Amino acid sequence: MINLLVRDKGLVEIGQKYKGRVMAVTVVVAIVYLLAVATSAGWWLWVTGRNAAAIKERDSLIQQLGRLAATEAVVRQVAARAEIVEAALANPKLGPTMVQAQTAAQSGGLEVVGWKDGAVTVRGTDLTALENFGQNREVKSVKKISAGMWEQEVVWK
Amino acid sequence: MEIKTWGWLIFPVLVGIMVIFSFGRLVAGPDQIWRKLWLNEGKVKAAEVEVAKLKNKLDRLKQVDVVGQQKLLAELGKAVPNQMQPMLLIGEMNQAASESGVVIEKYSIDNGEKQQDSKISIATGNADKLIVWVNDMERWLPMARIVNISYGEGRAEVIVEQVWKEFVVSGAKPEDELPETREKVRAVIDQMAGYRELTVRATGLPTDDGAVNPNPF
Repeated sequence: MINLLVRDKGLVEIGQKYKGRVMAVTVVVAIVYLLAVATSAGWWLWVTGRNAAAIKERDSLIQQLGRLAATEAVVRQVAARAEIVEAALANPKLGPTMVQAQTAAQSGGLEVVGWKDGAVTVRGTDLTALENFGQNREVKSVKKISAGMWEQEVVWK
Repeated sequence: MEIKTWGWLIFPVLVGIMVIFSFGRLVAGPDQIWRKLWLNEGKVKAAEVEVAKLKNKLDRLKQVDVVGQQKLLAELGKAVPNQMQPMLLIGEMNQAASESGVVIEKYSIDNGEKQQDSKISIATGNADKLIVWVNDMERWLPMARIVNISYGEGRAEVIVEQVWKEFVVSGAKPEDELPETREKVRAVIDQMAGYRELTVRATGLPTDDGAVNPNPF
């Protein structure tokens, strides 16, 4: 027959030996745990309060902005129109290019007689002047149109 | 074993069960309350940032001089109008013709969706007059753009377009930022100073001095 009384007595002794430590650890865990839960609850209340306040203020601001919608529309129209005008002003202009070609032709004693698709046709009697005019540019054609008179077509962009 | 002997264990066991159970709910479980708390903090921060933006926008809008903005809009509209203005384009062509000495023989205007193409036949005599006419045309308000020139033998076929654009409703949301335009608008209007407007008579029709091309039609 096994003697259980002896074993029980041993367990009780062990229980009594560790009771103090177990209780101390349990109290510490319980306090830490309760503090953590309380902190979380407090944090949650604080965050929820901030959220409610922010949403209320946002709604109020949106209402106020709604009352100024006409003002905002004008400001946006001005911004959009400024962009459009800026782009239109930046469009390349043909006039200055033509003036440049004409000035270059006249300096060599040549006459501008044609302009098509970005190519200028000049006429003159001086082949050297024609050569200088077409220097560093794409020469599309050179024609002799009569005795001592040539025409040259040069891309001018 | 007596209950009295082991009764002290109830407290540690209960604390243990409570910690294990609530740990599962708060941190590791499917609800993940800690994660929700963290996300809520993020949402609040986003809402507060939005509030700050809206406040800033409201302050700026309250300072806007609406009449001044409308004047700016009208000023910018002189360069690129919000609707087609064929009579102004005709006036510009004729005025430039008068000033340069070219003769506009015929023209046709095609109203497109975004621009207005005009095909013009001009008798120029020489290239000098044509170049003066082109330069004149490119300095008008509303702006006219020379798209193509085909010149030869004292005659030119020119394609001109007048750029225009309708006002478009922006569809901006309250949280969309207000564009900062002051500097840009000033720069654009300064650039426009190099251009000139067609003189408009009291009748509302552009002037046609008539020296070269008295009848536009």
